[in-house]
Amino acid sequence: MIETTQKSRIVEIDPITRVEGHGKVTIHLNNDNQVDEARLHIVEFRGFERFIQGRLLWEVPVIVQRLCGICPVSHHLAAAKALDQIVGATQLTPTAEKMRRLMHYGQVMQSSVLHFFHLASPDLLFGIDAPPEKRNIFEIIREYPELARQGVLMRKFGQDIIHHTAGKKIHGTGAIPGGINKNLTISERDALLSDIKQMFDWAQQAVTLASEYSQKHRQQLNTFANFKSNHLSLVREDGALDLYHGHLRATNAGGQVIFDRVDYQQFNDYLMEEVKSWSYMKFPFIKSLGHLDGWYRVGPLSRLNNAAFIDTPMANQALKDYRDFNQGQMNHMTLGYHWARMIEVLHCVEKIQELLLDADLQGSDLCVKGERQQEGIGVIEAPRGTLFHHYQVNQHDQVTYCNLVVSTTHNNSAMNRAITDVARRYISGNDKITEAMLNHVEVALRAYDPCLSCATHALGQMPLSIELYDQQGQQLDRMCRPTHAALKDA
Amino acid sequence: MTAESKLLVIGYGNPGRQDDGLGPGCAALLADFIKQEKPCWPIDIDINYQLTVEHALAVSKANAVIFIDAARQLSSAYQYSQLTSSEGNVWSYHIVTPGQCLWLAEILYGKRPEAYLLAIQGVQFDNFEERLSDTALCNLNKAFQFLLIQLDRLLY
Repeated sequence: MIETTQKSRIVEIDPITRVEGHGKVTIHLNNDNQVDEARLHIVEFRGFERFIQGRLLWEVPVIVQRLCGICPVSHHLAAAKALDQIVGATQLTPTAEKMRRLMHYGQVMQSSVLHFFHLASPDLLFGIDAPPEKRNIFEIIREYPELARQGVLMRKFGQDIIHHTAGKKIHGTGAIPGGINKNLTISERDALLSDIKQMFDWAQQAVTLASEYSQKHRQQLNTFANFKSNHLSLVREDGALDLYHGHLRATNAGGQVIFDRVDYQQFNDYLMEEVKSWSYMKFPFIKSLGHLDGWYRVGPLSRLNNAAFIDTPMANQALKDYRDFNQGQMNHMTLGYHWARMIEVLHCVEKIQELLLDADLQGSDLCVKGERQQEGIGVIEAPRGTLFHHYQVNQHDQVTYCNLVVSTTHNNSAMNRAITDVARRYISGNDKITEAMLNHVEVALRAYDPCLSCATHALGQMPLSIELYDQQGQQLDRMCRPTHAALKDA
Repeated sequence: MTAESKLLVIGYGNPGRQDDGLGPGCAALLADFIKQEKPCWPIDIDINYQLTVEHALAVSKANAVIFIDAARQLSSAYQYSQLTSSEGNVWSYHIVTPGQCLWLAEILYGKRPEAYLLAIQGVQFDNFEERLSDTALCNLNKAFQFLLIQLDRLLY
């Protein structure tokens, strides 16, 4: 909470809406009342990497799920992939890899669906400028109950996949170093297949909704936090979109390759993290470009920029439409994340069906081992972007080193750029901040679907506040939002 | 929720964050108890990190629901209260409150079951540690005995 001075008026969104986790935004004005910059501060640190040290490597894929209740499966799988290296499992059995993929597609689908249907939809369906009493999830449910029900059932479908592949809903144990500990039974498969057609229909409708929104609001997409950046993601060997495995590819704003075909075991040779005094969240950048030019984005927008194609027909057609919208150029639109996210959901549904019809899921060869290593790095394309887990272990199988670079951290510079861009456009020249102005800042952040709990390796939640400062560092304004509808100045 | 089930118990929280694991811990105790002592009790048990929107579907199919969660500022070891559906102040996150979960069940699926919240007092939440504090363990035992009485009342 911010202390106010006699002169100052502070603006705060309390809590920031529809974003997960802890943080604070400050907006800094110069003497001409123009926005110099906006900063996303992460104000809490809990040190999960220290907590994991000393734990036995076999425990790690389960323990890391406690990092975050929102995306535990992504951490589960990234850790398992890292530990595959340590137990020498360079090639998983087909059953193991496909079970993990099924789990992952279920996770990406349910996470992205929640963001689109329940967190972003108020802005998309009612408009960023709509009054706050209208622009909220409750009005979505009242006016679009079918959409809300679809969101719930698609979430449930994704959770059911996780349940059947991870073994249980909480602290799933499905992925283990070297493979998995269960296959998919025929009855589990049939139960999931019984819902798949409905998932196709709804996923296609969601793509259409995102596409129509983008067509209708083309000018807004072109001007709202649309800035050039580099993009990082995994891609498959042949350049296809691959959410589970592949090599690292980084491209610049024009689409030229910065690096490609990089084995992610060598990621430390290509990426670095910068520390800034005002945030616990680090600022990764591409080493060869330096910290000023080397920052990049990850997640659905970057994945669709970097992929040559998508290996499922419906999503690939949707990708073509998506690229036509931007004349085949690299898409740098912050609001483009929503459309890209829904194309990935459609891709996930297609992959889920493909996997459910694959008899390898009923295989019994679940786990392999090889020559023991002391170090392992696992990378996965989590719903929010590229997720790195890096571990070293000693001869007693205890973890001696752990470094996690999570998706939201990769997007740190981009999110700061996005909120600065929006603050300059909508707040510069105003000595008073309105809720509508602040919502624009929130919308810019929200598009990245940041998980600030993950990014700080913290748990729980805390409001994100927004404050306005002048050049001397005086707080000028503060806003509280005691309910989703009302605003008051402090 | 199976067709013949009457009651849904949802224990939620993060066992990796000390006493935040009281909800899952209590629900796990109940699962063991039913398995060993009362296999005929028609109760579905759900253990999860958080309440999320899809819980509304399961809630809508139950005749009665008990949510179990850890609490920070109770004046007693536990507190049991009947819930009403509520939009709440803000639905800002990927998670929902028990009241919002009931509200969603009602508005999306047309059913709002009788619902209760069993809040159990915890005292340590701030570290990554998979262990309940001694105080929380003591409170858990008291709350669990109370829960058994309430379940018996709701079922019969």
